Amino acid sequence: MAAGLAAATLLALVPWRPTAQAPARPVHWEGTITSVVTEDFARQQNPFADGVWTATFQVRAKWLEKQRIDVKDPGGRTTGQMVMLVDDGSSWTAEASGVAVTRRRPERLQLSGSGSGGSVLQAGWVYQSMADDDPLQDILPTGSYALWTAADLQVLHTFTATDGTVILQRSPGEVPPQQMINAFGTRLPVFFWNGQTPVPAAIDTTGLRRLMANSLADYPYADLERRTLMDGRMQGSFEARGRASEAGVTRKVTWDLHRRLGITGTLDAVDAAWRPRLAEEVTLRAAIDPGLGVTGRFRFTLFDVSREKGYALNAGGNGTGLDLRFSGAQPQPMSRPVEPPGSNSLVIETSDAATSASVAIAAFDYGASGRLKAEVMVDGEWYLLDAAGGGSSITVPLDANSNRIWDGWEQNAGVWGQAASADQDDEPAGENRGDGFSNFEEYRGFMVGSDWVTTSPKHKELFIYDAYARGLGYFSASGVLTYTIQQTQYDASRVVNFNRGYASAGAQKGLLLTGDCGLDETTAGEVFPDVGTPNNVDKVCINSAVMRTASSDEEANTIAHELGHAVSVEHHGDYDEGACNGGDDGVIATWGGATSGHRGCVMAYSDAAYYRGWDGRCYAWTFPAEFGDQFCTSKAGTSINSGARRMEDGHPMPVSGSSTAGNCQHQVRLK
Amino acid sequence: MKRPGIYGLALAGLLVVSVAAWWYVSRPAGRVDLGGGVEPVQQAEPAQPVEPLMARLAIETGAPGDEALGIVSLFDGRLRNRITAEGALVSFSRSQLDAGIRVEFERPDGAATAGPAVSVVRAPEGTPIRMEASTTLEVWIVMTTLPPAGQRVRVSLPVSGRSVTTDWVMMPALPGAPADQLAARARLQQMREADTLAATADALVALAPLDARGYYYRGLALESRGDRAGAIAAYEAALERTPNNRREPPSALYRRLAGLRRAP
Ligand SMILES: [Zn+2]
Ligand SMILES: [Zn+2]
Repeated sequence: MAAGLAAATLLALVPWRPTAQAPARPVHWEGTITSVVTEDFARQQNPFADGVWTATFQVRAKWLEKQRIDVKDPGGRTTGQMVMLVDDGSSWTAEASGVAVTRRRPERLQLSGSGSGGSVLQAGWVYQSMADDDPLQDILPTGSYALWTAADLQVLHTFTATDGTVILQRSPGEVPPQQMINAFGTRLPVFFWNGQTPVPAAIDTTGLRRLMANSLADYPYADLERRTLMDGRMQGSFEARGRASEAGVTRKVTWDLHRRLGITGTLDAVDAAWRPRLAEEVTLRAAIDPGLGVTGRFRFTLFDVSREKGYALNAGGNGTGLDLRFSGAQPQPMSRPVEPPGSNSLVIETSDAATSASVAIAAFDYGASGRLKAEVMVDGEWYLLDAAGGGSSITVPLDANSNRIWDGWEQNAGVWGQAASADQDDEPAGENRGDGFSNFEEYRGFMVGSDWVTTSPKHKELFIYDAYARGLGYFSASGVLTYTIQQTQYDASRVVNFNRGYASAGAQKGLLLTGDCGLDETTAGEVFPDVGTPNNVDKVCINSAVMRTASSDEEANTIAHELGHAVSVEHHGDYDEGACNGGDDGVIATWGGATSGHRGCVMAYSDAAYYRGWDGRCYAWTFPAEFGDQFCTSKAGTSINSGARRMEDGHPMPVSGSSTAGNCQHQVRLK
Repeated sequence: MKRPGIYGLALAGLLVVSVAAWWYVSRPAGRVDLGGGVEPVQQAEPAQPVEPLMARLAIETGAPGDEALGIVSLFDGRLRNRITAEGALVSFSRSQLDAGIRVEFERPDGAATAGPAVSVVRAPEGTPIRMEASTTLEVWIVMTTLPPAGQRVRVSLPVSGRSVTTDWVMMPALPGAPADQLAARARLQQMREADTLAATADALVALAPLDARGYYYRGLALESRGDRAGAIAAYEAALERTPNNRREPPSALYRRLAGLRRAP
């Protein structure tokens, strides 16, 4: 029996009127059908063979509720509707195998094959009764349904002798296909509307009852049960055995399909201007498409949520809880959020059905990130809503390039396109780029005193614990941006980004500026253990006792000079020590040495006891009282170090000329 | 203002408290109730103390048996960090300071316990004071009972009607060598007692004639008395005895010397 026969012309018996009636929105039935066809030769009373062939069909069913045909009683009253189903994207896969062995000759027939295909539903319907005194209730209780499915699997037959010699092979097409032909619920007749027949608008109960009398009970593989929906599902199984020539053929069918309404809706994008800040929230809205006219309960799932330590790079303890959570106060009644164990997600549901719902999400980290999806439950089924921008979820915050940095920050900072781990700060330009903090870290930010700051991915930045407490003097002239932090805002090793995690550029230290180093009484300042980057300099010392007798200019100069050493800046040149012309021992300034170059540079020595001029001779000389307040950008000498070589008042000028090192700003290195 | 009593006995070590103060910002707006959702999973969240001013403490010690000086420095960190443009308005009440200032010791578990009583010897005057980026206000206190070396110490004090607390500072070890003891004492004296400084400097020169420090402090003492020629001679003697080959030269000495030589 071919499936095509299903186009039973039974409909022709009914006075159809060709009026279409489209459902308000697409309604689908989805699920699985498994059909196993077994042919047992021993049971066929066939004297020539033994063996079993089996074909297994797996169907991923998808039907569409296409039309509704009113069923009217003789008085013209609509007492029910036949909801007609058509295939809408089903697919199937199948495999067949088996061996039959002849009894009289040493031969066997082997079956093999596998395949897949689409559309399987030949016909189907669900009856919905609409009247308590439905005249068809004896044969058609509400929810009654019938399905007719079919698929053909092309197979290979191979005759072999018992010694394995192939006697004959018949390819697919030469032999009948293995067939999945299932008629469910066909105690009632399967009547068809097959998609080509003009769509009837109505059928009368009398005609339908007559149709029902045309039972297909004779069809050997029909499901003999009357099927009705259970809990809204098409669910069941049957086993049918063939008779007569098909004795030995068994069909076992199980199916489970559920109705899926065509529920669609949207989840709005996060406010593009929102970025995570500790304990600040953002509200997102999801809605069922308004044209559907249905309500449902909403479920929001936060997932892929970050778990950075603390809440900023240098604050918030070392906890690694979820960085985004549902806020305690929600715009409408909601369930308590659930955190599935071992996940980075949280789920919350609205308590009441509505056409839309909003959810408030709070950030627990300045670098928090995650994704949000929204679903709605209608008639017991969850439907995923379309997320803004396509796909099934949105990022929180807005993060089109999925690097966990809010896009607005990257765009505002001019680093769109750079990696989250990039550390390319180049202001002020110098010997290397970077300040030790990656883009993500600069974005996530730091606590500075009681303030949170997000730093610049372009500007070199330095954190200083200023125990000396008298400010950073002229150090701002270096071009490095400084932040004066609390003692607890770097760790015992002075690492500032001690809560680093995602996309870090590594540990970066801050500087300790202190007046407590036991410095020699006459030394204004010193760095320990040596000139270097903040990662190498243990402490920057200012002699507070000396500074008590110094001018504010001198103090500001001294602080900047020592901080300069702590960002790798060297002196303008060397100096000598000793006596000059029989005087006391002291520092001797040398040509191109420590006092040379730009006199306004904090790294230049302003004083020495003596100087050795371009003529190679040593002179006792009192340097003018000058304290630089800049970081020089060239080696050129200025003031007493500038001009042509000449003699003034018996002294060679310029005093020390251009510097040997110089260009102090360019030497700045933070890592 | 001179308080001879405090330095009466062989110059108590001075405990210099240096308090730097920051004004704290109020919390950002738009905060929400976080109580509802999930348990705050192992995440110690907002625990930052919110105080208006920040303070730093520096401890200066002298010889064993001396008192110590603490300098509490107060500054507006938000101004220095360019977070705000207008500095805080700070006011001091000497009577409230005297009554409310406290020294605290850190216990091994991190808690604070009360330390010994202290006296305020210097405090800002003329209130209220508008903080500027460069402003550092100091409150000096003197401790007669010193914590053991290594003990972490902090000071809390009433400023502008609220309590401000310094960061923790470790109590330094007292010097052992006699010359170092005298130098430490001189260092404290030069900060506020120039006339007693002279005697200590002379003692240090007598004890250690090759040590530059005695001459340097003698120069400071003479300079403060207006003895320019004597000061120059003392500084030159110090320079002669200053060790070579350090990264930074004795620039403080040059500057004093150059300043005196330039003076009419
Ligand atoms: Zn320079
Ligand atoms: Zn230097």
